[in-house]
Amino acid sequence: MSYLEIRDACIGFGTVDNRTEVLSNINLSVEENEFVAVIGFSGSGKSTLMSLLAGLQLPDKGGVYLDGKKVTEPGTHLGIMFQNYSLLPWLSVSENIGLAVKQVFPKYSKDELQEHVDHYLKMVSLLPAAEKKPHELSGGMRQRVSLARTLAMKPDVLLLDEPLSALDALTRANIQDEIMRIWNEDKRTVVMITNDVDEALLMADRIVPLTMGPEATLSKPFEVKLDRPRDRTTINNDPDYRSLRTEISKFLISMNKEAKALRVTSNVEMPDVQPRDYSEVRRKAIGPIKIYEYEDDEQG
Amino acid sequence: MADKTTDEIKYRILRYLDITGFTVFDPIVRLCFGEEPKKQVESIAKFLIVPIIFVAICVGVWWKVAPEHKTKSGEVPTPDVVFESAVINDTFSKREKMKESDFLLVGSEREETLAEVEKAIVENDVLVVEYKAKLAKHEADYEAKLEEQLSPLQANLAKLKAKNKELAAELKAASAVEAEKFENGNGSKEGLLAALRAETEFKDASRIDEGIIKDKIDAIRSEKYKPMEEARLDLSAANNEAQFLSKRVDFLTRANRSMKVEVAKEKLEASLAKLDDATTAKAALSESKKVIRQEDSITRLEEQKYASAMTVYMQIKRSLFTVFIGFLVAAAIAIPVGVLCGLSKIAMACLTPIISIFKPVSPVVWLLIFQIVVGAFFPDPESHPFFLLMNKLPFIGSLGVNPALIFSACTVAMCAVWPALVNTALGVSSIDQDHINVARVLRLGFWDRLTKIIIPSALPLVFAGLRISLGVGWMVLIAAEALSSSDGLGKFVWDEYQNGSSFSFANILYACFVVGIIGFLLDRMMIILQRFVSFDGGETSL
Repeated sequence: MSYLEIRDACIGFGTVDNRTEVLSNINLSVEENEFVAVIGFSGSGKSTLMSLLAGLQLPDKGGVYLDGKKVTEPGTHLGIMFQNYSLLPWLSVSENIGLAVKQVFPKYSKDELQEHVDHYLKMVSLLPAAEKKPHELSGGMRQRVSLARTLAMKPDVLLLDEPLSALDALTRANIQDEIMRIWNEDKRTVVMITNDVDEALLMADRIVPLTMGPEATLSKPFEVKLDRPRDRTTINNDPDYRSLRTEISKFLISMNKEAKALRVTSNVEMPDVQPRDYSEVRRKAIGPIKIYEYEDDEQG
Repeated sequence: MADKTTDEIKYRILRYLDITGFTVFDPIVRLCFGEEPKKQVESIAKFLIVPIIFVAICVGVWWKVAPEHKTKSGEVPTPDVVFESAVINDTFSKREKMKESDFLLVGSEREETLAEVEKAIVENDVLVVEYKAKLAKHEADYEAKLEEQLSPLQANLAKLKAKNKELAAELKAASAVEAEKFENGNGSKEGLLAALRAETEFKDASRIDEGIIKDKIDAIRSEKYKPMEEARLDLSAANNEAQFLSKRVDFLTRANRSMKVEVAKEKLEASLAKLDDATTAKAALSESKKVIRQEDSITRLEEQKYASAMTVYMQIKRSLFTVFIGFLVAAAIAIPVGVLCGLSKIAMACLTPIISIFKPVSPVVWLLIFQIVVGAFFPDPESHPFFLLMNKLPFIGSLGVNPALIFSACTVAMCAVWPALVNTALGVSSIDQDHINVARVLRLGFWDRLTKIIIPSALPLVFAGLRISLGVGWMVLIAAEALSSSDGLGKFVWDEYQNGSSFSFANILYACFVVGIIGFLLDRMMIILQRFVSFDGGETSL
């Protein structure tokens, strides 16, 4: 049995007779210290999958198991890093991290807590910005704070929900390197959601595509057996990398086509409605139309 | 280096302007520091000069239109009269202060002040005489001028009247002649009717002619003679001063606290001496009773405070105190209840009918309800321990806490509670889902969730609600005070409306500006607070 597992998970929304399944029959096994990337088109239910893993949502059927135990509620051991930072804007950077650390290590003294916070801030090279408020930081810096907060909780599993999608290409590359460096130093189980094939190839051990929703499910994974550390400048010339990239891209494109072909086009037939000609009515009517009388009464 | 410090000062000033919402004055500051003068001058012209001109035009229109409208309490006052009433109110309060200090003065200081006041009286008497002479002269001038203008008109009128009388008599005679004809048997109906008609027509016409001249005379009479009016005002000011000074003399001598105590002590001495000399039991008993009474009265006198008349500044103080009491009560209710409503949909469902029904109720209704309810709590307010305690406190005591203040404050609280409550509930319920997720991942307890996530996130909206509440409270308070005769600005307005002196309309307009300016300052205060708690550095609407 693997370290982190999802077994036959289904989730949907709506009433009983008008139900839309978002995810169905999701099965995924992640080994300890493995880096798995889930790749999929937007709207396919990636974030829902992440919520399931983090315990923020519970599946309708099946379940999520960590180390053999069923996940029933969120917690600090399932360190999720949200897509849109989710920093508390009224707290400074170090207070944001401190709040999380205090919850995980309630016995820390003030100095120990500060030391812990500073350690992780240093790890994401944000020590100088410790006393700033989130709105004073750039998007990349905010995402690094969010990363530091998640890491500072020392989670068993790191869940990255499209952590870099809101960032520009240059900042993205920067933080990818940062995450890789930290992962190399401090190995742990990671599930990352992304929509970028290059990012997945650069970072993950295994890439699992998510099919198009509704009723999205995971299809056959691609193993990435490139040597680490991977260098973004030279990896482009690696034949294995290129063939794998082509293979995944092809798969995703074919999946997209398939989804389009499956899509049902429904034309609702409109009733033939013509505007009524009131001039005719007025000509025929004897005396003024009722509504005018009423208005006159009101004024009188 | 010098540049850096001036820049720092500049940006600090600009930041204060930004926080207080006076960004309009930005260009002036920038201009003072020599930043792009052309651009600054342009924006000063656009956003400062033009508005000032607009306001000036409004004042001008007021000045022009106001005297046109005559009311029961005189003309609508022009801005200068309103300003004058402000000055009068200010003088009044200064004089009250001075009388109070006179009342409390002791020893040589009192004597020195007394000498000063007496000197001032002499000087003022000279002025009074001078103004009287001036007024007499102006009155004579006015009479002469009036005479000069009126005499030709009056002569004309007399002439016209005489002529008309003559003609009327002729016409009357003519109709009499026509009537007599009937006696002779040769009367004609047409002739008599025509004669009578001519008579009445002439009477009407002559009345109109006379009326025109009379109107002219009235107009001249009602014209104000500026120098005389001014002299009259000067004289009345000097007379007021004289009255004030004689009151001061009173407070420095007869009515002075230390003097009163001294007189009482002398009496006490006398009584004590008599007690020593007493030979009969009856005399001793009655004298010792007197001694005790006198001793008591001395202690009372020593603690006596000056009974000041209500000045407008005291009214302002009391109004502000009342509004803050009401506002704090409102906030103390609205914030917890609002948080509860925001957190629990059941609580929200429970309170929605109550909020919806009581929110639109008029403050007047609340005032009456609270007047009855609060009145029942304090059947005898004069000796109720709560008021005795309140009126012993250092600052609050001087405001005179009474049931009227309590129920005015309750009315304010009742009307101010709703905006704060609704906004707090909205702020709490519209908390970002991401922040809730963070709380769930961190497994924060209820208390931590409340204090670390929910309240900070709702604070900007809470303060927006409080700001509306304070504005509503201030508006309601003035009405409540006017209606309940609880001392304060509202009562000031009401009293002015009731007493109908020549300045009362001006005083009402003056109070209108005072209420407006204070309301504006309160609002600004809340904006600043709101800016401090808004974490995203966002703008606040003005």
